[in-house]
Amino acid sequence: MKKLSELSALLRGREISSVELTRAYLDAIGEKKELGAYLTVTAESALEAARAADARYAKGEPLSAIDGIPCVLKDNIVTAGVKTSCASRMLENYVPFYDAFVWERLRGAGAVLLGKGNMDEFAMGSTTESSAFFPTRNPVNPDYVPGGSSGGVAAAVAAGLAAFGLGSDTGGSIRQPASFCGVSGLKPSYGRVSRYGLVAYGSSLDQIGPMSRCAEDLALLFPLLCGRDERDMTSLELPPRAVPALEDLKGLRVGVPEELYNNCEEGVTEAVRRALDTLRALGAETVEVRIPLLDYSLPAYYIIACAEAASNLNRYDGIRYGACAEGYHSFAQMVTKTRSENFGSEVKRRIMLGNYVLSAGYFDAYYRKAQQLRAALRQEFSRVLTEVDLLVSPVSPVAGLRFGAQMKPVEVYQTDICTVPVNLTGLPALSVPCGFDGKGLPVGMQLIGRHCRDEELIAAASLFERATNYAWVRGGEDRV
Amino acid sequence: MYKLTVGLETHCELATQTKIFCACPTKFGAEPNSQCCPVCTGQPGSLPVLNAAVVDYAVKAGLALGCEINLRSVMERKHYIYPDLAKGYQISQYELPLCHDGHVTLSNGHTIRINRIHIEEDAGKLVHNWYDTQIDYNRAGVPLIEIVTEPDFHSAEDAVEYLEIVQMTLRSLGVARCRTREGSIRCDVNVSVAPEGSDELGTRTELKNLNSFSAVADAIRYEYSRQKALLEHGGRVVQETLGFDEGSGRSFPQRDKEDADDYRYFPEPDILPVCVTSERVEELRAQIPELPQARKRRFVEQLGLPEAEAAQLVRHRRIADYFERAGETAGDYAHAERFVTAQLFQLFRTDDEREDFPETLRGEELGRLLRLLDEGKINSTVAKHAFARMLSEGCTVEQVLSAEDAAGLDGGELEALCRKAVDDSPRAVADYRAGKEKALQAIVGAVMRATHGRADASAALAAIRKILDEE
Amino acid sequence: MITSEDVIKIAKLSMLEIGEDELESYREELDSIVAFADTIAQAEIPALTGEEDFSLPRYREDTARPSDTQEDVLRNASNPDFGYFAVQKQG
Repeated sequence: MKKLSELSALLRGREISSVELTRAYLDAIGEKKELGAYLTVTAESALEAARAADARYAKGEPLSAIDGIPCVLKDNIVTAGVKTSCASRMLENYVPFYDAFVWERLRGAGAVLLGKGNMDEFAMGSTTESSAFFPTRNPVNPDYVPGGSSGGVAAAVAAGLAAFGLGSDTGGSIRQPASFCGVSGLKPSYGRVSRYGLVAYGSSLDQIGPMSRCAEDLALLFPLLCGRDERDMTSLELPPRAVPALEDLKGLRVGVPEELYNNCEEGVTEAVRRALDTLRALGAETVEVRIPLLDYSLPAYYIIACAEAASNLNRYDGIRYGACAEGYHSFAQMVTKTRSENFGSEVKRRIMLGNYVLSAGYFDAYYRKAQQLRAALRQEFSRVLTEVDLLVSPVSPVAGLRFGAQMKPVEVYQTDICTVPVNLTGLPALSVPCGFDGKGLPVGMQLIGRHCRDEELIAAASLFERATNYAWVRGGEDRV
Repeated sequence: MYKLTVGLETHCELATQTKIFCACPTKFGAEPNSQCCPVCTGQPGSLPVLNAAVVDYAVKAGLALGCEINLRSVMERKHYIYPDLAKGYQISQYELPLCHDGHVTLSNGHTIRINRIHIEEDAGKLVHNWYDTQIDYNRAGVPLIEIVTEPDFHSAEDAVEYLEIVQMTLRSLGVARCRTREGSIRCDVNVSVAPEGSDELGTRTELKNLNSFSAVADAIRYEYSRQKALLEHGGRVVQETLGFDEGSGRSFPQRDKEDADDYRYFPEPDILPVCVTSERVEELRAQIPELPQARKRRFVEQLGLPEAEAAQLVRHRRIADYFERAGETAGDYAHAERFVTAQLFQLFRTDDEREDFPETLRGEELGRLLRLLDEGKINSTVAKHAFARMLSEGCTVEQVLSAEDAAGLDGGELEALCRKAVDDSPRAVADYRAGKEKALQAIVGAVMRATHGRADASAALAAIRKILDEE
Repeated sequence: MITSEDVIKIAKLSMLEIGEDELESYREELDSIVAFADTIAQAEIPALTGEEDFSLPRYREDTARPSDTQEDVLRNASNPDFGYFAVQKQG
């Protein structure tokens, strides 16, 4: 498997064609069907797009560096004419008539869509087990989950079933599956990538981001996605900047938030601390930092995310799109039946919690307080990020979660401790592989940057990657 | 004795080109669901984007109604599930509305306090059939302002006058059409009744979906009687939402679509607070034209018009403009008022017709016609006919009083017509020669008929006399 | 402590139907999740020093753009009815 820049060079040099590349991926997808990475495969249109790309390469007029390169999009990103289900029975047959901003961009750059990636239903989950259709397995070890909610995309990229992908991240849904599968993923600063066309879960927390074999690929993909979209009021007027090519990390001050290293598995802490050694060897300075409010970030996150989720899912009533129940005698009954029959239990739990914390009498104690906490947390992070340039932590306290572990909801929520503060504060963060635990499961290192300093984050991660090569190694064996 | 207390919540559609959160057109009457997009049909992944003109129009409305403007206000989601609500929530404002603390002063001196004005989106339209309910989302996302008063009304008449003032004020600003027939102005009424002299207000009922100002008045009067009767018999008024059936003139309990649901308001995360600078507010304030109530005062005090006529003139801005330009051109406002009141309002009878008064009709033309009348160049019959044609066909004075109608007939033409009339009326001539002066009137009458009333009667009489005396 | 009545009430607000057989498991789960959320009650929020964000939002110009066609808009409707969306009185 190759870096995007290598694939691009091969295509430009006409050493391979986009059609060949696309066929290779389609074959691989077919061979590894039991991985469950894809919900929809768009073989015909992929080959058509590949042929068009080849025509452009023949004329020496590629649209971009990723022209003709096949990718996978998480199935909560709207693609016109292609089923977009959010892994839910509610949208099992929903075919949108418009495109998400990010897909407009990628398509405009010539990317080839192989299909839509599996996910936790409506992006609510950390294991992809709550997909209404089937779960996805971790390509590194099928007894383990790929993480979630962008588990399908992470597994596809890790298993060579796509050259890159787009996921979405509300509380860690790009970073955690990237960590579990040994790939790289970026959650951009809130507002740098338009959410138009992302089926909303937590509106003030969601971001779409690239997932790729290596951090270096993120440098190629991020500029294609960011920039102002007038159809998203939260989208920032911030065009991409060049990702600096770093030789070393001299002058970089790295903060180590000790709160996030507590309660982690030994294998995780070891790998991340070794990574810190590497950063120091590259010239960075590391310093312990304290962010006391981190202790409350998980409950604050779940209150806000579930409130926004309950609200965003109020639109599913069976009339304009989506499943519609039969056997009812009133509008209210139709709606209740439609929703009850077509939402999974995790979605129902979060809808109910969301409505609970928004309801009269509880709003102040929960929602208002959580937002106040959030503002204070932002303030704390801002302060810390003036003393240091970026923060390094584990992505998840565990290296992996076993399939069918049947953990209680709150137990699963606890594993989001390292990732949710980033969504609450809107900062950029990425996961880059930094080693393996004793069981051979990949461990990701999380880098958290200053607001809108995504490019610097990618630069630091790329340098780390060059120094360590974990992207290309699987628990000791060569993955290529 | 019982005291009536009423509060009004008025929803007015803003007359912007596009909807509040998407660029779909807002034109009335299109094919169902043909003015829609992912945003206003609430498709998964769609996002709202606030229309700048909505904020401008709403600020102007607030300023014209005496409100303070919140430079920072917040859009919030109001949750309930109903077929006409595409997202399962309405984006509105709750804790921090755009405008607050305004007022409207009625002709009897009563001041109605406006608690708040906020912006929100309209829902789709439902069509109820016996087998299904059809939904058209063309109206979904049309911008609304909701104007909420304090319970300051104590009569149905006051409520109607207030609505008329709001209607003509918003229309004169150009921010809203306020046509009850279109549904671009809708009113909910809160009515309570309490013993005279009591400090507390009685339990209030809310009447919704009142489609005309007369329905508002009828509903208030009916509710007052109903509640009064209840209280007089020792009963209790139940706080509930009612509909009003104009046919029978009665209210009835309505299962509110928002049936005691907890709306679970929270700030809209997709929009961010609505911010307006104080500079912008002043720019908008400067754009506000002379408002109807002030204009009426000026018409009465400075132009000397009678109250009632002045009030009618200012109701529709284009008509008021037409009148004022006519009066200015003619140099005589009283004269212009009489013409307009007598004729224009007969030709443009309904509220819609008057509000749609064509902009192409120019008051200057009436003014020039009036000058001709004052100068005696045309008579009043001619003037009336000419005015009627000007209004219905949009002609200029020249076009209407064409060569043949000219400023009177010229002397030679008149003489020729008089001669002919004399020749055609041997009986009358004989009577005149026999000493009957009055017989001449018959000949004058013939000339008038021949000229379709254009001739000047006294000039014709003189010419006829001259002709007969010559012979 | 979340009771079964609470669950029924929240479910109604959410327009969800929780069957008798699932009621207890949802109750238990919701109870633990709410207890988890309750922990923020102990948080002491320090005073905020930052300024409120008064940045002028980027509004949209009031210029109409062609809408989507009636066909597209109704494409995923469960019950399209001569150009309208529809809800059958009894389905």
